[in-house]
Amino acid sequence: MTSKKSPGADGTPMPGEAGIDRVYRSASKEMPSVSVDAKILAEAQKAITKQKTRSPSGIHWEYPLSSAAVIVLSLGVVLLLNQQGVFNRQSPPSPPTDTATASGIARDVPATLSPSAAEEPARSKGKFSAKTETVQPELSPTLAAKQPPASPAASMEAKKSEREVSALSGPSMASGSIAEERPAGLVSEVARARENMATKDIKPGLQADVISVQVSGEPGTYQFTVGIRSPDTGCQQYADWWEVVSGDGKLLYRRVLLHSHMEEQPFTRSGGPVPIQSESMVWVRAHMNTSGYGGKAFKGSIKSGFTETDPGKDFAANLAYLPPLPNGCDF
Amino acid sequence: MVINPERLVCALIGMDKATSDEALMSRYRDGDASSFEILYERYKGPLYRYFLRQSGISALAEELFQDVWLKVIQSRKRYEVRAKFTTYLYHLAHNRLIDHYRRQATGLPLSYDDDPDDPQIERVAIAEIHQPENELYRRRQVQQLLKLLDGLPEAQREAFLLREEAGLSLLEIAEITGVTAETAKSRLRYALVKLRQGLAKDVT
Repeated sequence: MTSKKSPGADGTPMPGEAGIDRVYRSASKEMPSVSVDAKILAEAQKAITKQKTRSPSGIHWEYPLSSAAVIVLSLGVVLLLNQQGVFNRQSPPSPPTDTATASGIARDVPATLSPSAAEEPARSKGKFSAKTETVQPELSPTLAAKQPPASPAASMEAKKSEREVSALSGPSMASGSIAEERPAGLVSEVARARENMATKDIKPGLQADVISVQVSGEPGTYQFTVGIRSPDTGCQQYADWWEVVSGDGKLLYRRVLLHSHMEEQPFTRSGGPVPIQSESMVWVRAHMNTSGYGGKAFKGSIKSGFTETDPGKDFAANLAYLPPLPNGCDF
Repeated sequence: MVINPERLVCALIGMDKATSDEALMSRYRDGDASSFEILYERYKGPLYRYFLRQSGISALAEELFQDVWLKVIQSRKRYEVRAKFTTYLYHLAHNRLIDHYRRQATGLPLSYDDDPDDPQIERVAIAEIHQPENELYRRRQVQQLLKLLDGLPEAQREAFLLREEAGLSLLEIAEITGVTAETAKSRLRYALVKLRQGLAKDVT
């Protein structure tokens, strides 16, 4: 980096900067929403409280103690089971130790890797080189190829779904949503979502639950703040959007989530404007990239309030194919 | 003795104006949550507008904005005063933005691959901005500026925002965005020229 002194290098105005500066400052007044302020300040406070609770005297005596307790208890249970002959009654041979270890490692991999992935921007410490790390649009198909192969029936259904999506592609059908203003979603991302939906593999406990709904603003342009609890493990499994659906199953607004929320559970995200009136009855529900809909949802109106209601997993399931869809997962 | 809360807040604000960002962040690292609140209050507007202008969508801007502050909170224990807090904060913001661009289907905007040695920019005349005579005129000028800003290539817009919102010098902008000072200067100058030309054209 050069240290040559030039206009603006030390903060002095560049030629022509003064007039622009004046006009820009009179225009630039936007602020984040109050709910975001509250959320961030609460997180800051929580982090400090946690820090103080964890180490009141600076000595972490509880970790070795708890580890020792776990070891003693485990040994006790193993000895007890051995005495009762439980191990001798098992007929199938135990797998080789290496395999067991390997599978253990494999299970740990997503949880270990994902935080590192989240740290990636910080590691670059601003020395990011655009030229060397530019991600080409071809990346996503590659990623999609890494997904486990689906069954032939599921693949056929996925292909069928993709044709249906192609027919639906075009102007966004939801109003005022984030992804609307983004480029069209990748076919591979859409295909993957279709594939997941095609398998109908909705596992209990793997759904994204809506846990709170708050609304502010004016009729026709309401802002929704939605609390979600989801079993996120990283980009491979995360809540990828929440949406507002009319009583008869039409998509009114979708808030696409940019990344997983592994370390922020439950989490809250706001979005809008949602084009409804105060008495409109709507559903608020969330979607998982793996298992689709099926989690807890809220139903109600601005006037009457929102309560947890089960829409049934098949309610307006076809909305999962409609844009806006996630355009990628940041981490 | 009765304590007036408003006067207490005013006294605290007065006291905190004198406290540097770096000292506040250090205090937060050491367990003083109120220092974070002051820091947040100082920078929430500029940082939010940095993301808002770059993304154009308030919900997306809030998401990125929230991510950066959560990063500040999570990495507080590792914080050391090596540079200005603003440099640190916008470093995180720039990285988050680039990370977001890279993970989108369109990838990193081409404007980040610009040529810092483009000689044309030095020859472009700086247009005069008309001084608005009335409120209506001024409002129109403001709207026009935001529209022009929206139309700038991302890298140039970022240089402008880091200058206007964060108040950073060219060297700091260069450091944050990982380019040479000449490239940062070129981006900022292009941005200013386009904005001024656009405003001048609008008025004439």
